[in-house]
This record gives sequence, structure tokens and C-alpha cells, in this order.
Amino acid sequence: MEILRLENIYKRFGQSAALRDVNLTVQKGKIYGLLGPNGAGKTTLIRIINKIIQPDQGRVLLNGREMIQEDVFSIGYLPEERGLYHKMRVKDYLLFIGQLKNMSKQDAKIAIADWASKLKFEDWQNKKIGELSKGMAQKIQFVATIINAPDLIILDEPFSGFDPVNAEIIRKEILILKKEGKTIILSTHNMSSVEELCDHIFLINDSEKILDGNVADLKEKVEEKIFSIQFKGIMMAFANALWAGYEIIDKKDLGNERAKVWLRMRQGNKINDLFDTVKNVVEIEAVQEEKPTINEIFIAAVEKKEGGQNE
Amino acid sequence: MNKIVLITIRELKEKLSSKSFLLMTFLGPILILSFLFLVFWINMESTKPVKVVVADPGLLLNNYILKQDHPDIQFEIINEQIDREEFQNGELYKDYDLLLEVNQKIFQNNTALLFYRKDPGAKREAFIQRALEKRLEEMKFAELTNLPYSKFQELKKPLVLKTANIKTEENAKIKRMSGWVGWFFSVIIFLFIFIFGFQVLRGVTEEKSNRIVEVIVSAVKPVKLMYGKILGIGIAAFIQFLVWSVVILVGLIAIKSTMFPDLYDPENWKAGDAIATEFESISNQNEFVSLVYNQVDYGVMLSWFFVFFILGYLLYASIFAAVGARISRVSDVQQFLIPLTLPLIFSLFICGYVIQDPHGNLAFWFSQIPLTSPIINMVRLAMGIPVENAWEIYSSMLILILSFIGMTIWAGRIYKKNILVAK
Repeated sequence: MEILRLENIYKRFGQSAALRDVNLTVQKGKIYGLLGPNGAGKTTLIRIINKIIQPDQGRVLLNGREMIQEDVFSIGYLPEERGLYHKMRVKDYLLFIGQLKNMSKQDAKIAIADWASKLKFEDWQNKKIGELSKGMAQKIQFVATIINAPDLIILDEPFSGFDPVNAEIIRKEILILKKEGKTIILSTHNMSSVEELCDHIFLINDSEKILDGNVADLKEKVEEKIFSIQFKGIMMAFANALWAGYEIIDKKDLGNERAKVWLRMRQGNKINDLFDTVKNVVEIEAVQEEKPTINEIFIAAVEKKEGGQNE
Repeated sequence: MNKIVLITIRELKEKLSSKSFLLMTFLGPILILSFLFLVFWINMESTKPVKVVVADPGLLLNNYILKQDHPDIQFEIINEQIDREEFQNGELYKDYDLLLEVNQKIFQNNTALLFYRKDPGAKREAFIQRALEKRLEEMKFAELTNLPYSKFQELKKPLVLKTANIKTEENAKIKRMSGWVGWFFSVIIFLFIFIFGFQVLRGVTEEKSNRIVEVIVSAVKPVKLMYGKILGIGIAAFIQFLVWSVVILVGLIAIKSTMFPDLYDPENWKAGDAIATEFESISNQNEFVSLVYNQVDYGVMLSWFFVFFILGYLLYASIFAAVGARISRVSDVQQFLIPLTLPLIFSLFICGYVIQDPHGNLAFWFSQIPLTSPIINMVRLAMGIPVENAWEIYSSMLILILSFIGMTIWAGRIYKKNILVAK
């Protein structure tokens, strides 16, 4: 079920275009990765969703109808550059944010106690934020984002600055939120978290969306697939047999005339063609398709776009 | 709860718990009271009578200048030459502050010599000059005519020019003094706008530079954040001024009842002799005490103060907020402060002209311009506005309110546009 839809979003800042004809659809209960190089337009897109800035053109629909100002309270937003009021006490700050997000004082207090117990900051509630460690302060920022249990949560670089222990805590909380039916959009450069958490990715580059799809599907759709092949035999003979139809990306000597080679298919070759080519030269022990990482998909897509523009 | 109220309460709590705010709340009035006490005390010291020894070897003055002692200046006439070296260093004249030499040629050249150990000040010098002049006129009159002395007194009776409003019969001199009371309130308005306007400017820039602003504007409209900040800091300023008012009023009552129990009673200052009034010699001290204790209608002045302080603060705070939204670094804030408060500083300077002519063109137009009206109107109000001119105050208030509304709308747009732009 669709929760958010962006239609034909355009935004310019002065002479430079920040977003060009961006369309995307977000389904309920999934985790989305919003990826893109620095300056691609991710933060502008997020600010438009949060109605902090208005698009020059296009519509943002939440639950099937055009968004109004009040709708932003059903969105939890953690900006990339997020400050805190350092002179406020932790519980006063969370209460203030909760009430700003239309919660009653009582509900906000209950939510604060609940999150304090979950993220283990009960003892820190009366401390001033300026006295907290960086990790603890970031937990407070995370709680402030979701204190009103919003249906849609947008986290811009949620793991930046976290140590591995605290990053893991937040990662688990994100998965729990998904189980509870919340929809989450992650904007991050941390590809391992995208790989681990996201069901779907949007890739924005140079103000445009260049990739949009389910993570598993995107991995399947890679045109030039990579295979690893393990064999017994002479490496030189194996390489000579491949000729121009395959590209060796990497190789590893396993000893006793055994080796593992990673290669990319060229000229429309399939796995059977590979078998036919090398079966008389070496003794094949194992063949496996190597799925690309999100990082590789990301780089490949950006390079392809830039290559296309240069041509 | 309304979001502007939430932001206002947060700002207010932060200000009220700030150590510098608490320090200034109590230190401010104590400093003002100490200053007033100092002025009273210094004036008291300066009212010790000055002793003048008059060397009149030719008996020209016939042994008196004033028929009785004046509280401020006492004359003693010696009918012999006094050696200046003896006056300066000798034991005989060490109790005298001034030496007045009257020699035989005085009727020809109209010149006398006055030597001092410590400068007596212009006012005392003028008093001595007038006293001697008057005595010499008296002597000449007796020498040249056969008329009785009472005729001379009749002839020399000074003209008193009493300037008063035809309707209210209000005294113009007292009115001008009241203008300075208004000026004092204007200075307070300036100080509060300067201090708290700066806090708005700094607060907006701080929120922008420490990146809390994006968290907040995702839950509240930027304009509401701006209004909440302006109101929160404004209420803190208001509370601080209330504390100042109470502490200063209590302090003034305490000073009045303990240190100067008699001085504030007008009956007591009129106890000087006839010449004293003639020589316009109500002492500085009594004028000041009178000004502080008898001529300030604190109820009226405080009421108008609150009106113009609130409207002036809101207008300037909106400008400060808009400028603050355009600045990205807190260190850049300082340089904007003086240019932004320049109209107020300028107004304080032209108050002197307004006191001289409270209903002139200058006073009228600057009382209508919203950036200067909070300052100028306090002076005009302290001097009294005739009923037929009351519309000027109301039109000034209306212009100020409309300007504030216009400015907050404009400032809101600037704020919204710039608050997330880091340069």
C-alpha cells in the first residue's frame, strides 16, 4: 500500500537545478534507501517531503492526497546536520519536541520513559544535553525523531558519528520499527547498512533519479554479470582459452595448480559458453554467480550516467 | 498547546535560568541606585558654604555685600590690604576659600580680582559677581542721587519672566526638566532594545549555526519559531525591567527616608533669603532631588514606557531576527549591532532639540517615524502633550503597530528563506 508519492518534482536554487523531474513511490512497511553522491539533491528532496521548502513544480502526496502542513507531523525527520539545545535537560528537550509534534504532555512523558528504558538513558534524563557524550546525544536525536510514533520516518545519514555499538543499537531499532509497520527512508553513504536494511533503493545523481528498484531485482538486472570459477589446471592455458569473450577481473592462486578466477561475461556469452570454452583446458571444481554489492551498483550507475553525458 | 507559546516558554526558561540574566536583573538597578546615591552625595558635599574674605581697604563697600549670609557663600570684609602670599600660605586666612580684592579704582574700571584655592565653579563665581555688582550700584546710587534706598530697590527689582502654558499654566522650566526625565526613560528603552535585540540576533544565528533549526522547522513553521523567540526574549526583558522598577523604587524610598529626610520637602528649599531666589539659586542638589522625587509621575511614565518599549522592541527584534537568519556565524553578529541600532542612538542625540521645542517640526516628525518614535515620544510625553495634540501620540502608536506588523511579515519571509542557508 502506497504511503508517499512524489510526482514530477522540480527545484532550482538560482541558476542551478537541485532536482529535475523526480518521481518516486514509497510503499508502507518497507525500508527505502535514498542514495546519491554529495550534492546530488537528496537533502533537497527530503526537505521538500518535510515541507521545509516548496518545490518549483510537482506534487507530494501522502496516503493518496496532496500533503498539507499538518501532515508533516506524521513524518519523523532526522536531518543530516542536527543540533540540540545544549542547555536543556534531556527530558525537557524530548518533552518540548514531543509537544511541538502535537503530542499531549502526558503522552510525551510516557513515550520518553519508554524510549529511555529501551535505549538505556534513564539515568541521563536530568542531565543537560551539553554534558552528554556524542553517542548519547545522537540517541537523543534519534528518539526526538520518532517520539510521536510517526508512520513515515526519514533518516538523513542516521549512522554518521555513531560508534559500532551504538550504530548496531540504532540498526536494530530501525528493523523493529519496520516490523511495527513503519515506513522508513534512509539517506546514507553507508552502503553496508543499505545492503542490510533496505528493501528498495532510489539513486539520485546530478538532480535526477537514475535508479529505482527492489534491492534483489537491481542485483539481478545487472547487465554484465560476474562469475567466479574454481579449477585445477594451468592458469596460462585457462586465460588463453577465454580470449576476448570474457574479462578477468581478479584471480587467486589456491596452490597445487588450483586457482579461483572472477570474470565478467562479454559479447553476450552465457555460463554454458564458459563451460564449453574451458572444459577441455582445465578441470572445473566450482562455478558461482557473484551478486554485485549495492556499492558496485551505485558506482556503476553513476559512472554510466556520467559516461552517457560525456558522450 | 500553541507552538508559538511552547517556543516562547522554552526561550523564556532558558533566559530566566541564565546566570548573566540573573546577574543583570539585580546588578542593573543596584548600579543605577548607586549612581543616584553618588549624585546626591556629591551634591551634598558641594553645598558646604564657600568662605570669601573681601579685602576692602578703602571702605568702599561700607562693610557688607550681602546683608545676611547666604547658605552657599559667606562673605567677611576686612578693611585692609591682604597680602596674596599671606592668603596663600598664612595661618590667618587658611579657613577662607576665596580672596576678593576691591580697590579704589573699582568705580572707574569696574574691575575686581577674585583669587581661589580651588575653583569655586561658574555658578558661585556668577553669584559673587552679581552680589558685588549690586552692592556697587547701590553705592553709586547713593552717591549720585538723594533718593531713599527703597527707591533703588524698586528700580532694580528684577523682572521675572514666567513662561507658562496658557491653558494648563504649567511652568516651562519644570517642563524642560521633566523632558530629561523622559530622556532617562528613553535611555532605558534604548538599553533594553540594544541588549535584548542583540540576544534575538545572537539566538537566531546560534540556532542556525548549531543546526538545531532544521529539527525545529520540521515540526513548526519557521515564522512561528521566529515569533516564539522574539516573544520569549521580550518577556524576559519585560520581567527584568519590572524587577528593575521595583528595586529602584524601593531603593529611592529608602534613600529618601534615611539619607535626605528634609531635602525633598519643597518648603525647606524655599527657606533661602530673598536674594537667593533673585539669583536663581535653588541648588543643583535640590533641583535633582526635586526632579527624582517630586516631578516624575512614575505611574504615567511607566505606563507609556511599557507601551513604547513593547512596540519598539517588537519592531527592532523582528529586524534583528531577519538579519540573524542571514548570518551563519555567531562571530559575525557583533558587527551588525551598531548599524541596526543607529536610529535609536540618533534619536537619543536629538532629544536635546526636542526638549527645547517639544512641539516643533523636528519633534513631530521623529515622533512619527517608527524607528525613532519610541525614544522621542518618551521625552514628549514626559513634557506633557496638550489635549489637542494627543492625536500625535495615537498616530505614532498606530504607525508603530502597523510597522511592527509589516516588519514581522517581511522579517518572517527573510527568516524562512535564509534560516536553512549556510554560507
